[in-house]
Amino acid sequence: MALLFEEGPPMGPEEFRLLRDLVNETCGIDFGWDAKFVIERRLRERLRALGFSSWARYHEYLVFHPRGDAELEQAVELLTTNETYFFREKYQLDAFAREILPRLAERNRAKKRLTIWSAGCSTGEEVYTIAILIADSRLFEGWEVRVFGSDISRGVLRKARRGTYTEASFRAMPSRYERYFVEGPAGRQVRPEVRSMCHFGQLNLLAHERSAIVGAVDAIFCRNVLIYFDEESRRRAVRTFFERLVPGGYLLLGHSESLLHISNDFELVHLSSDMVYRRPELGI
Amino acid sequence: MSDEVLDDLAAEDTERRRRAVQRSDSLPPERRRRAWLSGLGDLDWRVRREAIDAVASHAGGDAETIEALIDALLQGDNVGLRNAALEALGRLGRDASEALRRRLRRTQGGERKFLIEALGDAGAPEAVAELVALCSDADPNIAAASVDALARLGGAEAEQALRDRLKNSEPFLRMAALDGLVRLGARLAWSELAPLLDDPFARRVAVPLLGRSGAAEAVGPLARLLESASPHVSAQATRALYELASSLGLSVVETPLTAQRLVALRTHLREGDRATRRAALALALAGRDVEALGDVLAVAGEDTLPPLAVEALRRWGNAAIAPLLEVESRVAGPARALALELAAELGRDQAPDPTLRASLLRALAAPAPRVVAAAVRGLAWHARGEDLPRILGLANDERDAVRGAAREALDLLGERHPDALVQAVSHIPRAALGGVLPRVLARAGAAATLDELRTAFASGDAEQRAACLEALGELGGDAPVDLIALSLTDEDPWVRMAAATVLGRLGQGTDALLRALRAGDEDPEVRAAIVRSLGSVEGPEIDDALRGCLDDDAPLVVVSALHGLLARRHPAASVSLREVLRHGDEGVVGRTFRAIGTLPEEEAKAVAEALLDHENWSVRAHAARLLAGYGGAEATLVARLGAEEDERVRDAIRAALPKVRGG
Repeated sequence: MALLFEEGPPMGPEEFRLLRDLVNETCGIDFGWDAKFVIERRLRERLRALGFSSWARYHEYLVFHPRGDAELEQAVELLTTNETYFFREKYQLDAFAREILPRLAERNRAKKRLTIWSAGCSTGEEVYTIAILIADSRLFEGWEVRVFGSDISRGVLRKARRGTYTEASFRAMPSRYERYFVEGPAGRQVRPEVRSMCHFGQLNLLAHERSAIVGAVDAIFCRNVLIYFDEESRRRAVRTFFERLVPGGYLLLGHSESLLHISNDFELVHLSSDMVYRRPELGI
Repeated sequence: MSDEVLDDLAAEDTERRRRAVQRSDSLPPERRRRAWLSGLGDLDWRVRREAIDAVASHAGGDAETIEALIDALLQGDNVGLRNAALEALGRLGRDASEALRRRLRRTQGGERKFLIEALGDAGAPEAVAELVALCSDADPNIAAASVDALARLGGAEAEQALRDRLKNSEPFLRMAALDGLVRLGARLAWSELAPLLDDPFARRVAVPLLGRSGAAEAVGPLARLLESASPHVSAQATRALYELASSLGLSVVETPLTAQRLVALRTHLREGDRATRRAALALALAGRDVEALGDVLAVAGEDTLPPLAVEALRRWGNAAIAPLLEVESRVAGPARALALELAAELGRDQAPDPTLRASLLRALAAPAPRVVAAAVRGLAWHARGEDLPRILGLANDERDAVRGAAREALDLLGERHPDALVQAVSHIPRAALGGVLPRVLARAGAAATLDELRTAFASGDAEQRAACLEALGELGGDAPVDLIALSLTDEDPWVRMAAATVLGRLGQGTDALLRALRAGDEDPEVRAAIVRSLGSVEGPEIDDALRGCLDDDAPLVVVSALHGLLARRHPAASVSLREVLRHGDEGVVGRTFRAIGTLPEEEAKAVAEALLDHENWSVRAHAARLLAGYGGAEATLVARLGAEEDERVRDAIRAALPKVRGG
């Protein structure tokens, strides 16, 4: 029996279809047929923990057992947790710092308030990267600045709130930003003045009503998240982003993502080193 | 199949016979009846029990079976069969009563006793008139059996018949009637009881009735019975005297509690059952028995203080502080904790008492968390400014009880000694204050800067985030509402609850609250907090949202919506009220009653009176407590006290009665 679990029971095509559809219904993530091994690898520990010898039993548990919802949340957490690091896709962040932040500083200078949403923030590196860029720009001193990171997984949010990271998270960070961290026994921790700008919350991007709690935001980062969604779920998430953005607000997607076939509501803005989307100004 | 069952009924193996009875419902009626009677008369009790269950489940309305059961009841040889038939007839209830009454009319002699007993067990109120007549039967056994059956049937006619028998010259019958009235929970006037007290046997049986009489004249006889050589009678008298004191007030028992009687109460405190210990505890306090304090604290430390005991302590007043502290220095654990709590409470409105404060401070070093927590709670009233650093130091204690007590105490002390608290805080590194910082600063009205709170808010500790939200709420108009609203998405329900509550307090963030409600937070406590906050906001959109919450799966949410709708006098509220109270959760019941309390007096009173016979004891107790706040409910409460069997509800009614009477 131990051997069986070492290898794990094989996942049949029907079992894969059932689990894939359930995850898709729950959080919009769409696993293609080539992702079967990802699901098998990431969920095998749950199968072992619950003592099931087949994926069909696991699916049955998720759907019918009283604790099924909690287990599904855990499964989604295992399937959606993606590795991230500080200053990922730096060219886009440079464009954000050099071109978007000054524009936002100009636009909002009367109300002195800036709100950025990092949707699907995982363990928080992107949220703190944005906050560091804002602090480093010195354009917003004395402003009300909020960088809000959301994720569907509670586990990653707990880690994000700790704000403490090991070396792997810093592999792309230019050394000049090291001053925003302090060394600690568990790793490097983001300095309090940066952390005080950052807030976290649990959101399923498909839960439109709950996402509305975020309120109006000036820019949204949703990088390398929508690639896991099916088309319909992408449309729904992008619709939410549109509604949350103030007119003239920016949407920054991952380098391989676009709104082609998803939404015509946004306009494309050419920056010096990147292209981003923007909600059109009112009346335009 | 049927032959197989009948064969098995004759088997030597008990289990086979039991199973045969179990399978007998599949037999044709005649064979089934034979199988049941065979089972009822079986030598083994397990087979008889199976047969009783089978008859009770399947024989209702089966006249021939009922007649056969009555025959079995009246046969003389097999006592097991008779007792089993008696129980089966009792469980058939009113299905059997007509046949029993018919047979009673046709039967003569001593056999009638069994039929009368069966009528009592069957709970057949239509038999009361016949039983009343039989109370005067020439055969004292028949008369006594009829009295006993009437006591089981109850009702006004039965009770009156028993009262009439109290004047009977036959002592045996008088005793049976007295015993029946005790069981019925009847309340007899002193004039009915007094003539019986000359008879020492009747006096003993009448003890509970004396307790329920509400007559000051009963105090003396009961107090004397405390000295009875019979521990049973003395214990009964203790409980009865407690009941009498509940209805007449403590002053009536203080004088009769002589030294010798206090000694008897000390014995009951140590050796009595729970009801007796609680009664003895209250009476010992009423008698200001310093020597009993150790036992009182030991009993109360493991239980709760009955309301009368609390009242007795209050009457004792600050004179009890010194003896309590003397005992406190000798005991440990819950008894020590209680001694500190009581002493602190009694000294609350008195001039500062250095001995009390010293005891409380000394107890901060006690090993038991409960004692430390009690001392901290006491210090919330008795601490001086210089004691605050010690309490602050406990606000992050790893022991939950201590930490919770310290934080509550700091809330109070922040209001009473704001300057001292701010000064105390200034001497402690802010990092060391952790989660307590925002709360302390907010309570002390200190200038917690927004930057400080923002920094504290970026914490992985949910408790700290929640405390920050509260502190942000204290900023009033300067509070960053959008930041608080964002916390409605926090992964920790406690923080979401705090966010919802603070928004409600600020009267802002309605849109975010409505969105959060529509999004359906998974945690019912959070949904309820959102609903409560929305409840204080006006607007048709809010009305619709609250009405929608009446269909929520969680009673707590429904209760919160009810509260909001009641405040708006919305017609949907009263419809859902009773439904919600079926829920067993104490918090739900308590909150629902708070909602009822917001109704106009007459309406609230009517609802509470109707709930006095609710199936849930907690609902009954809450109803009594609510009625305590209104006049004119005495008769209802007194009637309920007579019928109520649950000691917790009886306590609530006893505590309510003096208030209803304006005491």
